[in-house]
Amino acid sequence: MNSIIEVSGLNGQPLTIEVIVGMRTARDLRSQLLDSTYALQGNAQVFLTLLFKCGFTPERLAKELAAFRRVVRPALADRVHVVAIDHQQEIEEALSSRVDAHQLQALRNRLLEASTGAATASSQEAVQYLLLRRWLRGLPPIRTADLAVQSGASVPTVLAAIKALADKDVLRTRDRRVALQGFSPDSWQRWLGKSAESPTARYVDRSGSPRTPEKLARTLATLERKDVAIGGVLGALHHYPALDITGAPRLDIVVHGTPHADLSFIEQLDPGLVRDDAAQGHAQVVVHFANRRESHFDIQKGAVWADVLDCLVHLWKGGLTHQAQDLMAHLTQQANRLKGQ
Amino acid sequence: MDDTITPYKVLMQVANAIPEELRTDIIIVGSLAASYQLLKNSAQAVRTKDVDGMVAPHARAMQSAARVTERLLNAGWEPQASAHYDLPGTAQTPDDRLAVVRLKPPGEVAWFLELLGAPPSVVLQADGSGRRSSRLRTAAGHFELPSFAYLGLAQFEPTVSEFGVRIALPEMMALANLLHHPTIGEAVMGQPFANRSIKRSNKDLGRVVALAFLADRQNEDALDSWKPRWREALNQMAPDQAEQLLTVAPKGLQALLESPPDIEQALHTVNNGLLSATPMRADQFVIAMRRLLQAVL
Repeated sequence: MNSIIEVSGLNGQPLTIEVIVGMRTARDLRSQLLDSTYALQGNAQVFLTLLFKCGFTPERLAKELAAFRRVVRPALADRVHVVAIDHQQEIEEALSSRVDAHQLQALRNRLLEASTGAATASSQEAVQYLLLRRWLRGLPPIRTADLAVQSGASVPTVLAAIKALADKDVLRTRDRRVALQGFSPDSWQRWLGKSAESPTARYVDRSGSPRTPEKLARTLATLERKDVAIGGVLGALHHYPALDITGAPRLDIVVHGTPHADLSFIEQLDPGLVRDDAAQGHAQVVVHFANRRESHFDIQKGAVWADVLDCLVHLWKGGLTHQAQDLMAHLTQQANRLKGQ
Repeated sequence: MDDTITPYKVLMQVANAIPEELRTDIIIVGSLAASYQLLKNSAQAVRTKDVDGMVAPHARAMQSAARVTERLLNAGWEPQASAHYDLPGTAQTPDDRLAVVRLKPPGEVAWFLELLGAPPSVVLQADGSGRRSSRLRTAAGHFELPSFAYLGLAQFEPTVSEFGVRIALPEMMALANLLHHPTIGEAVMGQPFANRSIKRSNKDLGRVVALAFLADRQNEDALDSWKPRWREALNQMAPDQAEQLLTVAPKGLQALLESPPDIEQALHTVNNGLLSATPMRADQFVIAMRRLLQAVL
């Protein structure tokens, strides 16, 4: 998902707003300031960076900005702004002097959506997901800049994601392209552990006669939604029929979008389902979100299946460790076979 | 008084009392049929007093009903007396004083068998009425044999029980009730239902929800087949009106869904009737309604 939003600011001055979640280092901040400045050359735009869940104190942020303004021409530096957002109302405060009042509400919602979803999209796990996906398909090494575009992450995040991988897993080419050349069990576990932290929506049965996951999946197919895919055990069985499991304990589905996506279609799956994210007991349906540019869904004969890596994360997250390891081993074997060809 | 009965026991008693060649002319409808079809694995008792038997087909309903009545009376079954009707009826008894055939087995206090006739058509008459009445002449006197148009749908592929008598399909009983109540009518039942005054439509629509709930619990795909089965039955029994009747069928349920006081009444009837052993909560009742509507709309 793109975390850059362009709007018309006060007096018609173009305003670019970039949402960044989880920035921690001064190096990333300086890089962002520099990128913003480059973006303003030769135009009259204003560039506003909103930092959500950042690791800077107000003093540290002010100090960095002051240092930036000392070394950059005022004509450019004055059009570069960085604001840390700790509370939702601070979004409006940051925007109110820059956009018309009538734009505020809609823009605030877009930014909130970007800020909630961006944590996954731009995270290192998302970058690693793309590398894993390419490895499983036997695709050639890719430029880091292209990885940044495809994942929606900044180049520093892409580099950090690659650095976080075990050296022996990464193939680097002379022309600065990267690919995976393996993925150790430890690497799988680290990636799964992080990926499993992404937000979900959980639905429990209130009818007293819950639908089976298979029935719910059949009903989902009748809705003909191309942006909602079957994941979890059913999805894993689609990709790997030999998976060591007899039935799905629940229906995992993946919505291509952010956690703010409209989930009212769940009522059509079964009127007995009620959302209860805090439910300690068994959930009948768990909704995950594929907050990335491409859904990577597999559409076959009217059925929409989540990417096998998403299914793997669902197994892991659902405590089906044995089955997750079974699928991991299968995928590793498959990737190694492709490499040998 | 505990007025629960067990479907197997009652069906065996009814079947044993009537000649073998007439057994398949009886189609059991109502609570007992529902509990036979949907609760048979649970050996669950059902709370009802009347066991409704429709004599079919229409062409020989009078003859078969007369023979069944005579046989039961000879076996000691007792007709239910009422001040409003003449028992035994004679050739001189006016039609409106004729009693329906309502017979209690010897020594039985919990239930009675009531005979209905298969209607000549499942389509309403020109005046909008679905009820017809015929004078049933038996060796033991005259009775009334009523028939109800939509209930004729119970003749569609009934299950033949191990006792010989046939049992109406749940989805056909549901369709008959739905067509009978496309709106929440104001008419109230003649007798209180579990100590409460209840609208007739709420009782019958509540029954539809209970049937759907039980069918769904037995097989989660069951409701998916209801509409195709309704279409099949209507195409066979009312081909000129099949599509129009299919359109009308869910309307009463949609009206019920919009009316919490009527839902409450309907729930009271099912929890004191078909589902007395395993009562539903109000939210479960609404979910069952929504699931059915989703399947048939």
